[in-house]
Amino acid sequence: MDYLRLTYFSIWLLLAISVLIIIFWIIKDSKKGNPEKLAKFLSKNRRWAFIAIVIVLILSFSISLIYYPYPQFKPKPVLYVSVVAERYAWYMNTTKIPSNVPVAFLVTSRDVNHDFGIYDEKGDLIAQVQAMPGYINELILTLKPGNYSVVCLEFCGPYHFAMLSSFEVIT
Amino acid sequence: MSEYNIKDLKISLILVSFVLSTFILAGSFGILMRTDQANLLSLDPTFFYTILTFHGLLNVVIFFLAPFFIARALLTRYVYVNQKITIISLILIVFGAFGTMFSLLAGNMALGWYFLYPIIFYDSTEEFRIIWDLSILSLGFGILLLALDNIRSIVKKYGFTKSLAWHYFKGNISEELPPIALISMVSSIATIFAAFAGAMVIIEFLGKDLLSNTPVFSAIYSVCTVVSNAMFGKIDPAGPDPLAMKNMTFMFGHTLANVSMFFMMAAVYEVMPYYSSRQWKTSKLVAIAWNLALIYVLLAMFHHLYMDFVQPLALQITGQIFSYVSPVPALLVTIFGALSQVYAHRATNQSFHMLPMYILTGIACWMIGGIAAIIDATVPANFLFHNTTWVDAHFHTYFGFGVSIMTIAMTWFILEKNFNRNSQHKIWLYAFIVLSIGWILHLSSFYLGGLLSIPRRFVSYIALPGNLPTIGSDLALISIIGGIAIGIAYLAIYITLMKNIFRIFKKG
Repeated sequence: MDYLRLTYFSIWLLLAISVLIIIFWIIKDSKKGNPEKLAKFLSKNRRWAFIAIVIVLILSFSISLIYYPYPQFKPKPVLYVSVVAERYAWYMNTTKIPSNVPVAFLVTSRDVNHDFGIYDEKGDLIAQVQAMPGYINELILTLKPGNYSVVCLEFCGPYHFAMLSSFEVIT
Repeated sequence: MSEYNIKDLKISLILVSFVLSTFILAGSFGILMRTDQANLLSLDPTFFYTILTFHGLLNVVIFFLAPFFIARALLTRYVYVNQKITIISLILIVFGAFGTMFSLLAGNMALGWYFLYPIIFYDSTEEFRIIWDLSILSLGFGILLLALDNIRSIVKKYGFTKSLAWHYFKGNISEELPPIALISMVSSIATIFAAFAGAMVIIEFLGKDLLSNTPVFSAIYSVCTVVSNAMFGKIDPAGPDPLAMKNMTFMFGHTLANVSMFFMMAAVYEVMPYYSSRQWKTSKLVAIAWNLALIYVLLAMFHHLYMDFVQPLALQITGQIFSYVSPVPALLVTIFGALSQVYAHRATNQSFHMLPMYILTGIACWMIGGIAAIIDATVPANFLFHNTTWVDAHFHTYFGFGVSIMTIAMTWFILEKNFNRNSQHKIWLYAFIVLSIGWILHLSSFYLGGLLSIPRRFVSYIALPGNLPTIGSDLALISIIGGIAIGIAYLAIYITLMKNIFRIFKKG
């Protein structure tokens, strides 16, 4: 599994558990607790909580910039692959793509909105971009050798779930 | 003797009855879809996506309406709201909701709840599309009228700047503004933005079918097209632009979904002091927090378009920044305040009332679902989670569980404190336990699905790569078990509440 996905999930899980612990603490401690004392404690520490949250958010934002998937943040591609979506098929000008070099997928649609989702052989979603009529979205990826599945990830009609394709990344 | 206008409270109870009844149908459709995904049934794909649209759209609408009407009824303690407008709006909303349900089910309109342009022109016939468009406009117009009347009634009493608590910024608290008035004001302004964005989208839909035949409506259509295109796409009067339409759609949908929780929090500020015996007043911090919330909710909506790489980078970054800062005031002011209120209730009362527990659970859902939403609002995370069941997970947490359990709590408050209905039954405790277990199972299936790359809105997972077919159907099975528990607990609550509501109206 992609370590970035696992990291995000773990952060959520950790924070969700913290919320539940706070809730249980409120139920337990409040039975004999002093609301005035708690109110004073919260108002006294609000500033520190604010500073801590702001620092965490600034750090998270800065780190996330490194992983931005937009073309501005990616190396210049060596190959362009045209991807056209049309209910319920994907049309690509090639299904054999070289490995370990930046490849740009130029993705558009002939009808409604679709989403060009790429899954690896293990079934992990590794990348995606919307396919929108009238626009070309450029997705730049450097892929390892193997077989990849294309799955539509934007609801596009009754056979959306069957809008699948594949391509091969070769050495 | 109630401090609120009894007639307004009764109107809110009528609306809540409609909301809770619709929730049974919309929720059942949810379980039916999961049964299909677990390979226990084989639904026709058009039927599957029609009920998916019904499930999503109706749940978003009803759980916006319930907090809105409840907060409006509770606002009558401080200001005079126009009852005629409430009744006219209720008629427009119910008419619109039934029209939407009819066109969706009779017309097999499989669109997804946010009906991204131009899918509506592919999967609906002209007749049903027009009924659907007019029904949504009727709903939207009803909501707009209510939002405008909320603002009118608050401004009439407090004046515009004081209705937004700007005098608190300078430390002037001699003229108090109740938090419910401030939050209703902020939420109503945001609702107006949402209503206009939604109306522009629908008018652009109608324009292609109907309006272009008459000069006046043709002009309205052209204005809407040019304005929305200029705002988000390109200046192209020729017709709707898909990118501009997507932005407008999410300005409508995102704002509406978030404002639901805002209206609910307005009611929480009003209701909790009855149980905590502690005042919960507007302060400088509360004033700043809710004014910021208005800005944040409108600008965070850009996170819905991260996977549209042609959207200007500045808007993508704006989406992430405002999604990140949005929880700061909410957490530090409203949530801290609400937790203190529940703590105070428990500390000062001999017996622990279950109503604050329901509210506390709703707030926990807001936090847990909100954290998942903020993670999804991080561009690289969105690249991996967008349109997986992670998205379903976060809004089922804060909306499906959070807003619905708080709607139950508020209905209960109205019945108990204003109509003297005894509500201290064991049923609330047992229902709460079953409901919580059910939701934990149900939500886990979506969160784990997100972690394991399960796509959302799939009739069947069979053709997916790797182990996804097995994982997807197994998670759907867990979801069904949770869903059945939710259904049992919810029905027990529904019957109890409806029996009490019925008796109030029978008494007259």
